[in-house]
Amino acid sequence: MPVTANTGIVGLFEDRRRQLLLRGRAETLATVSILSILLFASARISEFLSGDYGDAPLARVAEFLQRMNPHLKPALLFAGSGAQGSLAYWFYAFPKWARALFTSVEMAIVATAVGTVLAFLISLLMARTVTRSAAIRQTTRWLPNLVRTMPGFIFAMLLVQAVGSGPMAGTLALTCTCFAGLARPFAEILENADVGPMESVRAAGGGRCAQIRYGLLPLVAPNMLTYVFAWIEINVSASTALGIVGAGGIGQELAGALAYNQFDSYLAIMIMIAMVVVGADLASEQIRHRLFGLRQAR
Amino acid sequence: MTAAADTRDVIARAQRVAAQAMAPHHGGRVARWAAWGAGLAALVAMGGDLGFSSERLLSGILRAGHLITLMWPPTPAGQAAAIFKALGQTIAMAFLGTALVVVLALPLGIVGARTIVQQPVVHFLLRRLFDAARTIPSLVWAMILVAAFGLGPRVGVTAMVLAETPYLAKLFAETMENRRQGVIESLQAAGATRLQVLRYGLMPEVLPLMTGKALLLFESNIRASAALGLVGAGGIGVLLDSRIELLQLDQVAWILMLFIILVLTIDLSSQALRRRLINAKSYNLKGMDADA
Amino acid sequence: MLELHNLRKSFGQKVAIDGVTLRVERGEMVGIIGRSGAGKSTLLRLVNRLTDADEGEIRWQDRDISRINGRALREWRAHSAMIFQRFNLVERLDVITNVLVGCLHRHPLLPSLIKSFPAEDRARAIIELDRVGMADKALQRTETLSGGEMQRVAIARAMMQQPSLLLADEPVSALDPFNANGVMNALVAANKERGITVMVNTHTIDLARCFCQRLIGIRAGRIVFDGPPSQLDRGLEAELFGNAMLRQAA
Repeated sequence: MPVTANTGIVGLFEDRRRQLLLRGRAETLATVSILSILLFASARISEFLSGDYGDAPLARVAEFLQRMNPHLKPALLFAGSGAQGSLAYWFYAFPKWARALFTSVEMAIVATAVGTVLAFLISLLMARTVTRSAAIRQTTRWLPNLVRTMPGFIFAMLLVQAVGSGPMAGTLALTCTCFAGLARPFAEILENADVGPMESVRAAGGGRCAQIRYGLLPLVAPNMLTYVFAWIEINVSASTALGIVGAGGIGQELAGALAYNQFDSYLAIMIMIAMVVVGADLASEQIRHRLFGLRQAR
Repeated sequence: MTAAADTRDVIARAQRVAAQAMAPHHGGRVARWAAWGAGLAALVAMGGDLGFSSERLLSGILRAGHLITLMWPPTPAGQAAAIFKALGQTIAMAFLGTALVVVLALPLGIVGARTIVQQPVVHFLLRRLFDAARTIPSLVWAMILVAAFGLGPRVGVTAMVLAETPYLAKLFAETMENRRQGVIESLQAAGATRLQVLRYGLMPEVLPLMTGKALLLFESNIRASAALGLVGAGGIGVLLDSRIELLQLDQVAWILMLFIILVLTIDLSSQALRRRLINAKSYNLKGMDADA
Repeated sequence: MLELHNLRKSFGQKVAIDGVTLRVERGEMVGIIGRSGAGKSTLLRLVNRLTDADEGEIRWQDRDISRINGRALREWRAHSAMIFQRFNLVERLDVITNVLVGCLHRHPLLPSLIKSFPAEDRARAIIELDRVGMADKALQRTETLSGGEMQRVAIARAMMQQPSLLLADEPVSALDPFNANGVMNALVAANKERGITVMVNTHTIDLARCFCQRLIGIRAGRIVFDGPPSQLDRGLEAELFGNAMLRQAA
């Protein structure tokens, strides 16, 4: 196929390309070096590479797994709780643990509910489409961001000092993190929402409240609920850990099991936690199916 | 005809035209109100079960006020060095942990993506496995690992890896599944092999997104590793715990301030990095006139 | 020369192509017209095997290509270049790489995985880009381009494949009239200057009339018209497009 070559253009292109290639390679080299240095430094500081693994580290791992092993005997699987090797023996404190898990789930639900409401309210103040005053927006923005930077357990510990140990402190702590975590996504959803419907309500004579209620909410509700559902799962997982600082729930049972060196009980509780969180996952997926139709639910 | 008769007329006509739309919806509305009411009642009941009561809340608020006064003025009480060291350890743990999680989650994510492994049964099982594995928070792992292997940041890093790899693997898998069918088809139409289609059609989209998610993971890991110190897995958690126990809240406030500054700095830089990853850079061959 | 014998394709209940028999000679420029959903897209995709027919046969130069696979299929696909309504370029990659995709089928695996193309291919890619007037944007990220520009890059990519057949699936439907003209002219250039057989889908009759010597009208998966534009009268147009508007602004 006859093609009239314009070597001028090709030459120019190759020059520029070489330039960019070199620059790109230099950048890559710099990035890789920095990352390597950081990696090495962090490995040193966290004593990952210190080499002192004690004697026979693999044996210790094996021993650890052995201690978690409940030594189930197939013949005795369904025997009573007195019989070593049965499921009942392994899950000997099942009622107590179930109750504690239930508490943890309750904590998560209440925290998510209250946190959602609070986050929604503050997001209204943070969003450009709802609040016209830039001053209000800027001042309200820093609160959730501040709360977000702190790990949840700090709140839990401080609240335990304030209201005493128990699930109340944990719920309040979860509420704080949930509120902070939802505020920003809510605000973004509100800002990215199409203002069209709101304006048409305004054109029909609706006041601010009506505009929000009829023009904005139906639009943003599905997106917001997606985040809420994600946070329910996060909260259920987090609430199980909070018990460790005395903030109620299954965490306290976990700490107790370790205090008595009952590794197999620990494993039993971990399995129960896994089942509950997976259950919460599935339940929320079902609810999302119903509410939004198959297309939106993941 | 009277106005009332007119109205009746209109309603009657509307009912003939769209009987269903005109039917009273009382049933639906009552059901909705009932549902909201029941939900609220359930919430209150749960709150009570959890120990909420107005007296406790009130006394809690008062006590919280007292605690806040204890926080002022924030002071390191001469232990600034130890605090900085602990913070450094926290960041190091977070960085190393994130790096390890990324390295492990990458192959898992690839395998877990429907675009790569198309076998429905295998895909389903793998993803369920990810879901089950990510239910255990890192703190729970850390507790038992400390009990088994002793204290130290190494244990903390291991706990983070165990807890977060399935989570990131799932995120990676999902990113790889959200590919644009059209682009894939056009690559196929040009005669590319399967691997080439992935390399040119999937990777350019997916790599910046996954890097962004890894950066977000790093941000959240800093908080996570701070918490891990609580159970002895290294970092700032231990310091915070002891100070809070002893109600030395002015030191706590100082540590928290430092921590917040640190996290904000890292958050901002990570945001800038993420923006740079997504943005288009145009390398224009300036000065090239079409002289042909 | 392309021959389609009795092609049939259904998607579930819906019959997309219902017994199509067609013969296209080398060097023709054929416009395929019909409503949205009439089966135009499916027809083209059957030719380059993005979709496989339920029944029927496709032959190119007397070779049966309806059932080839693997390497032979990839060669056929490279040979029968396709451009799309939504351009379908890899937006995060730069323009030149998108064009170089056209020669992927000729390259061994490893170098192509690290985006390493021989200088000769790069030069050819630049020349193709220059022919569509896009050479100065070669190193830009494709997502910075406008629709018309992207489609021209797509054409450059198609030319890179050194095809004998060019399948254009509604190439200008997403473009404004000015850009549409530019793209159609590029297709005509490919047809006249390089002797490439071109099959263009469009739901705009006037466009097809203007640029193609042969029109094929499709309705509900069947060919209802096959001839030069002069033979297409109002009645047939109505039959093709049903109650909808007969003419759309070109």
